[in-house]
Amino acid sequence: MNVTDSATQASINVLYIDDNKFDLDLVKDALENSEDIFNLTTAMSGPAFKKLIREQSFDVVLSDFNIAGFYGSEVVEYVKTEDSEIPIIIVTGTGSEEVAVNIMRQGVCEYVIKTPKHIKRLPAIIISCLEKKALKTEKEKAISNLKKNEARLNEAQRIARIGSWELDLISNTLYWSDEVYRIFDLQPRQVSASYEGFLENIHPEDRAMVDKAYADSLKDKAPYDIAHRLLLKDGTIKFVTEHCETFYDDSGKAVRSIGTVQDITEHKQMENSLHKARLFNKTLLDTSPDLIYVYDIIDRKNIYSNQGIVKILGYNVQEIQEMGENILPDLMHPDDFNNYLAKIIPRYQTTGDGEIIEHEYRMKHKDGNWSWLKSKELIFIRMADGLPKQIFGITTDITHRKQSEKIKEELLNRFNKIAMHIKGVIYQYHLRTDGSSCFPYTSTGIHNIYGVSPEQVKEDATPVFEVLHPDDIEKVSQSIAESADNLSVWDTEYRVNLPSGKTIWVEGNATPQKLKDGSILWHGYIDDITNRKNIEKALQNAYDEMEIKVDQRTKELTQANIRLQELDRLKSIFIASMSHELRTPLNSIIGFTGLLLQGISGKIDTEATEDLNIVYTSSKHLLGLINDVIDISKIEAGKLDIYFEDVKIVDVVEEILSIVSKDAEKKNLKIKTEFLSGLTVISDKRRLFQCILNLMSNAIKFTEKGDVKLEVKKTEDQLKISVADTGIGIKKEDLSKLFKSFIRLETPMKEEIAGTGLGLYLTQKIMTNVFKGEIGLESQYGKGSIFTLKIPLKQNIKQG
Amino acid sequence: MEIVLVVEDNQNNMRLITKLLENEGLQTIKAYSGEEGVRLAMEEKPDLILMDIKLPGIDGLEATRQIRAAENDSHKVPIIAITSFAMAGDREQYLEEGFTGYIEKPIDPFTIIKEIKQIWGKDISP
Repeated sequence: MNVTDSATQASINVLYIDDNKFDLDLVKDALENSEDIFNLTTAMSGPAFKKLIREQSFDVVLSDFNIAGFYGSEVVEYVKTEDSEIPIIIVTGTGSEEVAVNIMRQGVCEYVIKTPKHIKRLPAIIISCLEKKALKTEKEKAISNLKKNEARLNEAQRIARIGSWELDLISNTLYWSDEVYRIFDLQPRQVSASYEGFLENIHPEDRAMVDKAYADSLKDKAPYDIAHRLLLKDGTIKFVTEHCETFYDDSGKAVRSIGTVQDITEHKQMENSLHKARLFNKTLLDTSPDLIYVYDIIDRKNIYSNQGIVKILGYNVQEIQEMGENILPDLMHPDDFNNYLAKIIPRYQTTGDGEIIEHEYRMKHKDGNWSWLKSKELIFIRMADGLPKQIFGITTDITHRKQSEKIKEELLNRFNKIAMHIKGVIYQYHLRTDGSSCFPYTSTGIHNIYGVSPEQVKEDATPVFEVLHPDDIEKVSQSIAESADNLSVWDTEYRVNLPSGKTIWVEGNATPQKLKDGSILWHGYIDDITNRKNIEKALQNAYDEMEIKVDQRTKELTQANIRLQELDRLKSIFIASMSHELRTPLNSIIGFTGLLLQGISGKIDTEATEDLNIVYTSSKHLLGLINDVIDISKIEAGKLDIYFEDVKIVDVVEEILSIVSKDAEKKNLKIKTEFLSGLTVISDKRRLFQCILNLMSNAIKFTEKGDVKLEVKKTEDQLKISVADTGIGIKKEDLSKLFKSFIRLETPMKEEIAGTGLGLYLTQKIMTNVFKGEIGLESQYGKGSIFTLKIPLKQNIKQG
Repeated sequence: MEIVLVVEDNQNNMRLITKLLENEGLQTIKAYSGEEGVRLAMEEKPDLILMDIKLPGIDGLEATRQIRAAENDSHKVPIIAITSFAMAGDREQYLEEGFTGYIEKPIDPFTIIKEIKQIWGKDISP
């Protein structure tokens, strides 16, 4: 744009293309003569035209149809590429109808024939063309705005989840907005809208209701609002509300229904969760064991209480409401109420938001008992000036806790009272991880043990270690360390130097417990054992003395024993020498009596012979007695000489028979013997002989008539000798006396029986001590006796 | 007349034995100790010796040993030991030591002659 252009702003810039100078002037004249101001620019060739149109701005273009090979149609095309809005008017000399139509089709505004008559009208045509263009622009703008509004509506519908529809009842066509399609989850234009299609997507249970609502609306000529569910093809259920209005023509015939569909699923869901949340809150409040309440401290009344109040106080909600502002003065314990007035109420005024006020108090339960309650309260609503109006509180029944606290306190009291009387100390000892230690609890008895008070060692155990006996500190420390390492029971005895100067012995016993922080806590008891120690010491002394005495006595006994053994030896020597000394003269008596009896020293008469016989027999008897006594004392002293050798039984039996047969013959007794000839045993011949002889001579002595039978049998491991008689027998009650020394049983025998009374005693001694055998007896009083000797062979044989 | 040497320290026993032997018609020589017994045995050449074991000085065993030592093998005088409580072991020892036999004390005046005769193997009855 140049300056000239801007100065002639109100004028209409016209570009005219023509190679005919005459035509140019003609047009120029026509424009200049017009009322309107035209500013004409001319171009006489195609290139000139192109240059101008590019460089300048024109309101309208006039063009000849044929400009030296450059046709009007090209002009039209070129203008359109540069600025489609410039109206083009073709000015031509060739005025055929066909050309005009073609040109017009190309978008040319007007067609003017180059005749003066027509050219004169050119300004009016230009103005008309410009007006047409302006109208067209306005229309396009309106259309564009409409389109924008439609998009906005669509967007609004989408956001609001409201779709709109329109049913033309004359043509029976249905229009759905895009949102309707979206709500129904259908693709626009894939499915054509129809009432049936609409019904299909309605939840089967709601379908009849919706259909009826519409039908009723038509019948009543009234709009309707309904809510119902959709059941979409994929199974989704949606909640919608519908509004519908129908329009009628003058005759009353329904022509058009317009409606909206709103998706309220989210709303429904929200409503649902809100309901659930409310239900949850209500349940929470109703089932809480605690009392939850809102109390108005200005109006002094309860605004809200949950069911907890019934549980805690026994009154129902209505009763509480009725009590109104008297609830606290009436039910609260007077002491606690005064405290409430004096301390809690003022705090409401000063407390900040979110700050919790706690207090414990007693309230009278409907049953008459005091309940201990604990409330936690905070400011719920404040007035405009910021002062608290309502408080929100939670009250818990702590009666049980209070009771157990009371029990605990009583127990502790009881414990302390009892602990006071313990002479030793019961205590807890805490060894911290840093090596320091203390006594968190000690009974008052600690004064007796360490001479300190519980308070002195509560934090630091040092005062205790200071009074330990210096020689025992190491022992105590080590035992504590050991107990700590192994978590084993600490059990130690040690000395304490009391501040009074007294040294006492104590015994400590404690069980360690490892705490979470790694430190160790002992629970135990320490007792003064000084008395016990003294007693122990005294006992030890007594024991030591006793030991010495015992040793002394033992020595004395040993000496006495040695003396006794010596005496025993002397006794044996005495008996041995006595036997010799006794026997030597006795042997002379026997020997010379025998000499006299045989008449070797001269003839003696019958009287003297009888007397000498008595001397001889008595001497023999005395010799036997002496021999038996010697044997017994030797056996008892274990000094009997024994000698085992091959013994022919026949030799022994014959020797015995040679001795006893005379006596048997005198009494007319038969002697029977039974043994295998050639029977030999290893035995002490002299002692075997002695035993059998004793039994045989006894049997003959105590048998008046009948016989005496000697039987000797050898089995694999023993020699069995039995002597059976048909004599007087022995009474049962006498059996036990039989083997004692110097025993003579009472007998029915007429004559006195000669004997030492040592025979069976000695036989038994020999049997048990020499042969390790046994002597047995079977007897029937008045019928006879059987004595049996059983001698084991090849065992316990002492080679002499 | 056969000669019997009796070696016995006890006077009473010596008298009893010699009287019993003389009653049988035997001549007796008395020795009151082991030494005397050995001497008389060599000097008198008795036909029988009755030897007590327990003797003052050398005992009967030693005396017998000496008597046997002096003898030659062709002529051996019978020697009978007279001992109290001879143990079986002792008896065997006596036989080994050269005794012909033994008689236990105390002397039984009724049986001793019979015992001597058995050991000696001679009928010394007159």
